[in-house]
Amino acid sequence: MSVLVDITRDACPMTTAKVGMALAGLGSTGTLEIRLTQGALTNVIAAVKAQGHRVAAVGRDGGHFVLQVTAGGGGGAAAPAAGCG
Amino acid sequence: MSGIDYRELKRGGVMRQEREDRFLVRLHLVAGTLDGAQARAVAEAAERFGSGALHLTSRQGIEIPDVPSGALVALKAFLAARGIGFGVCGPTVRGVVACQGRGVCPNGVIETLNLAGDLDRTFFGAPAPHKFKIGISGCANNCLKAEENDLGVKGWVEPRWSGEGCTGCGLCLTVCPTKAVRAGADGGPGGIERARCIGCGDCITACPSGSMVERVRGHRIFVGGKLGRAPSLGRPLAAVLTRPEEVTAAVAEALEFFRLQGKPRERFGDTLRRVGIEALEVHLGALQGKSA
Repeated sequence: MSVLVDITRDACPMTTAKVGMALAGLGSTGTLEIRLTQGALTNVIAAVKAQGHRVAAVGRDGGHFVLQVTAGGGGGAAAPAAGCG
Repeated sequence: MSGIDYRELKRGGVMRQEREDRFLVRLHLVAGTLDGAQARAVAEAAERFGSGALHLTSRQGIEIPDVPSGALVALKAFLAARGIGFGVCGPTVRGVVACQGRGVCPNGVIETLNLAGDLDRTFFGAPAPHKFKIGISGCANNCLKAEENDLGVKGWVEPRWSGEGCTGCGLCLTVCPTKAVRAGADGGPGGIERARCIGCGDCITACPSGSMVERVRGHRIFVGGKLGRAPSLGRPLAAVLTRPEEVTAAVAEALEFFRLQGKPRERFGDTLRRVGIEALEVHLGALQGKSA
């Protein structure tokens, strides 16, 4: 069963901090579901890729997005944009 | 006070203040950078030669106010011994400003500090028809406001949609701040409108499947920007220059163009409005042809 992280009520840098902690606990075979706002998409996906994981699916839930993250298989991001910009 | 050439002093970064025989001394910093020893030396200089006050300028610089004319030579020698020169004013290339760029900032697309150093070493104090300001922003967030400069440089990433592995999730369309990514029939991207792209690379970063890839990464040049009494934003040149040496060459060519075409006390943007930015593109033609 996927762990669910809801960061829809958080602002950067707490969004990437919470996702970073969840990703650190993902292990090599786990899955993670991240519920987030549109504004957090780029930075969160960059963080997922940078840690070598993969966004397996993207869903919509009302006005929010839901990313299904699978451990491994990401290979790292070529151009991480992890700052709050 | 007779015999002082105020105009010549100003060219060397020394500005006359309202108060009789007091001068504001502009220091030469590159990208607002100095080490701790230099920072302490600047503080000591302000106390020894001025009133102890310092002024941080809008272009990452430091000025020491309240220096009497009799102390200017000693102040210059004191700072020079610590690797700090006086700035410039008047119709010259000013000190180069830059953000921290790649290597420090996680958003950085290009390296900025070495580029600022190279441009400053090559062009600082060079004569021009009017003041000529150079600023470097490492990415589309544009913290250093490239378009406000006579010549601005901005880190730039343009996408190409490979289609390979695309799931049609539509995130590239969602995150694109300028709607440069056009919608395709299946919900995924149908193409990229280059004229609308601001080079942020968000579509590439957000793409879960890796099907949106980098077409080019480099330096986009903006020309003719200024603030002051009649502000106007710089306009982008067509090419994205992939190597910093190309940027140095482009600045040299742009300055040559300005010296050839500009009238005295005419800002670069006004020259470009008068003769057309296309004339500059033609002047830069050989250089632009080498780039993406």
